[in-house]
Amino acid sequence: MSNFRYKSQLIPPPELAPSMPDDSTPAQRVAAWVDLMNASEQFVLAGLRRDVGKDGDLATAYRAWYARQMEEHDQTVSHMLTELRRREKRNAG
Amino acid sequence: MLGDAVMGALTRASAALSQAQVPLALMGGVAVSIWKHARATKDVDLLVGLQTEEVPQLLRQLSISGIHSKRLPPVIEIDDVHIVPLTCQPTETLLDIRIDLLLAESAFQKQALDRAIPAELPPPNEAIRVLTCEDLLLFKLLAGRIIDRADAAYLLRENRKDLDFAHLNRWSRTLAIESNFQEIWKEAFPDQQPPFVGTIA
Repeated sequence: MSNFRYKSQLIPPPELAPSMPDDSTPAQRVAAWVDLMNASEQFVLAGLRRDVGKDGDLATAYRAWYARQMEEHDQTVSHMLTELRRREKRNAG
Repeated sequence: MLGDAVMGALTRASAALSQAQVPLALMGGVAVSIWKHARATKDVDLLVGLQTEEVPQLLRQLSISGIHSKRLPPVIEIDDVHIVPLTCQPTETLLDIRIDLLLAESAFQKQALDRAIPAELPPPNEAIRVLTCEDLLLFKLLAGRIIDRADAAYLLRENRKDLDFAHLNRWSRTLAIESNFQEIWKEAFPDQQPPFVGTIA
């Protein structure tokens, strides 16, 4: 068993991390992101299809999945805004 | 396809807001990808120069473009900060794609909107203004989830040579997130001291 340990706990070291070419343009980076999202969606749909069965309502399951994702997003936004106001008020005081 | 659908929602929102002469800047996951870190995100987040009393008129204009309020009342207030959740169903998907407008009201948000820079998007999309990497990084530090901290570490590592550290220093102190910055720096560059460590309390 390897005793190799990452020094960072959040992200992999540069040699193991996915990266974009240094000379890529913003448009190329967004195009790569679109490809990533489209591919990820296929995994999500495959997982949901397994859950609902071959005759199940995939569209409804997909919308429910997205709604759950957005609930989590709402909590994040709420937390971020609360923190922002707390820090700005503390500084102003 | 979800990626195309999010881009479709972004394009539609950007065009409608521009037509309404509302200043905007892209933030969130799509902006992170512009700054060299592609990761999954399923919605559009925009910082906008808008007052709460202007929201009803804007919503009427947005509805013409197929963008609608997610809830009533349309503006959510969290500790004097306001956000307008919207939905849009682009032709590319079964989903109603979420679009969040964060009203730029605080000093930090207003300067972030002012400093936003244009970025080209893949055709046929128009260019859009996007938060600078520094301000996006600061927003990520404020958000504070694990995924946001990872985003911040990636942003630092991928854009280090182009970052304005004086700006990061100034706002890290103003927002009292110096220690968050130091932690993220150690994640990005485990063996190196932060560039403005001497000025951090």
